[in-house]
Amino acid sequence: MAGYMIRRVFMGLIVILIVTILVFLLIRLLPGDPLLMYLTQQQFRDTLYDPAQLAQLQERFGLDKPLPMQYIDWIAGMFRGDFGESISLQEPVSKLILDRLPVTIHLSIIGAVFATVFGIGIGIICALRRGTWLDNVLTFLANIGITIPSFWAAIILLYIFGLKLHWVPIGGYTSPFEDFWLNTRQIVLPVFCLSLFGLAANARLTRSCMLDVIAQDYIRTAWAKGLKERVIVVRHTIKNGLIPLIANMGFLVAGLFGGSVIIETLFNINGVGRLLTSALLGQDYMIVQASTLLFTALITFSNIVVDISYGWLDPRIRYD
Amino acid sequence: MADSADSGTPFGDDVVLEVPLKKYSEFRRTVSVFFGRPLPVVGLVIIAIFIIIIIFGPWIARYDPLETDVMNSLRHPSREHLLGTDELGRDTLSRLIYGARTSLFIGIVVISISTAIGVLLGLIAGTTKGAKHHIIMRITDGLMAFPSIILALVVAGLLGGGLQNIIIALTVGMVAPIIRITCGMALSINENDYVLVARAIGTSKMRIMLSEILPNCFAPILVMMTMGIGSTILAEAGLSFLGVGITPPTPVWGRMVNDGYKFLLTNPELSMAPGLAVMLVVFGFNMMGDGLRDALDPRLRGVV
Repeated sequence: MAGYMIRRVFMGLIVILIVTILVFLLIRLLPGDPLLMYLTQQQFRDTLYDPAQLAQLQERFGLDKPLPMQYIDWIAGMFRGDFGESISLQEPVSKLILDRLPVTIHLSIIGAVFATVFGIGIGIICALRRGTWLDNVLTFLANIGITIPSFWAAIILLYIFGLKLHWVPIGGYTSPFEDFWLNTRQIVLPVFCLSLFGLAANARLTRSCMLDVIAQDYIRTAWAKGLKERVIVVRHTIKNGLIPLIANMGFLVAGLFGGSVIIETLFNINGVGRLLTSALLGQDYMIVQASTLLFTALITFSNIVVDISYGWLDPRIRYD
Repeated sequence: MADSADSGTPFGDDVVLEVPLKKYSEFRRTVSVFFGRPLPVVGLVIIAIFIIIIIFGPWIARYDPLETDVMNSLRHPSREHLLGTDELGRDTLSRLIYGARTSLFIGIVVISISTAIGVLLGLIAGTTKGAKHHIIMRITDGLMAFPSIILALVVAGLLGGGLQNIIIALTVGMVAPIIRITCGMALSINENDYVLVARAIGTSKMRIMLSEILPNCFAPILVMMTMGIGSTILAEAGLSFLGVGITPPTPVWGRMVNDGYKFLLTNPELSMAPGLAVMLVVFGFNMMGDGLRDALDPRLRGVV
């Protein structure tokens, strides 16, 4: 087990290294010069820019060095907690991100819990009541859930609960330590929309994994031994049926972070997802670089945790 | 399925072949499983309807999707404009119909390109050992760490809008899972005796890859492509909703939802209708993918 854990962590570190290279290359090699854009925005009236000023800015942001040097600077800076400076907001990126990260994490954690608890619950109910109307309805809803565009679900819910019924505010985010009740009302819809896909996907996966297990010989044996239904369901079926769900947790986290880009923008929530979107539209690539890396690092980290717990739950995995 | 009792034995296909007089048609079985369930058929019908709409779009749409008519802006649904008009007086239904073209076109092109690249790289990674395998798979791991919407968003945002750039961005976001699944399939198929036999009689690596391994990956790849078109359309809608996408005034569903969002209180149909269209198409492809998976699943052979 220790060997397996070390291997996984090591592989995770390699993935993070590759991710940093990918993020770096992605942003440097694609066209579009943010400094040029910044300058032309500043001197909007005469669209001409001063080459000397451009060179000065390039030097300030370290963009005049060769690519490998820029990469090393970037990595070295990160170890010092320096993620560069936002070109348009003129603020350190680390501060911009740290201010917003708790918001995104807050939404994601609640979303993950919601998607896991309800997704698995619905999946178990469906599998145990296979073929009944309840199963049919819930499975159909799960199929809708993996299909519905999150932004569209958000708009419909906003229309019904925000604009028509006035139950919830139509956006924004207040810290739960400031006003817990307002915060709860504000995040109900975003969290639901964020986790909708994960919830539905979990329900579908749970249902099919449970059905696989139910068809196994050892379940028939358990019935033949005369065990109680409750024992068979809880101890034999659910315990084995949920192992593949753990492997899916990594995708769940990725989905939540991916969704935050859209949902935070739509609900006016000042999180990292919205920061990334606005930075992209403003071509502020220090922010794009840092927030993309943050998301991928968090996802890789959760994948390592998932892999290790998977190996712990299912010993066969450790010997691949 | 008269001889289902025989083919249901745990001994696999050899036993089925011993039933002499009846020819066992895998294709017929697949078709009958696929059409034997309601949801895949619903999915197929939805997609067929959308394809008809795409082909006959110019005849079905009553208005030019780009024609503005400011005098008739933000009209509610009426006999002239079945789904009303947007802020520039463009007919929503006509824009929806033309939007279907863009969506499906992007979905199909992106999935074709990313499948071609992904399957090739996946096969190479799955049949070779050493450096090639590790380089391909580690880069894939790296790409998989990005949520595909963020990867596509970043690439599209930096490349700028336009059809070609959106296709590139979405392809980058789609290719990694295809590589991973193909590689996994190839690794397990590689262990089979028939591959060993092929190797023993001196078949070239290339030949083994193309004529032993690739055909056996066919079913999961087909399922993945079907589902992939749906998720590409969903991702494209998300990108254009965020304003990173096909440049206006070309009608695209995601942007239509966003444009109509401002008028949610007065004209909710403006953003409801295109979102519903996205949902229907994606639902169609997902259900068809599910149906194909069940129909092509070798474990269910002889059971259904």
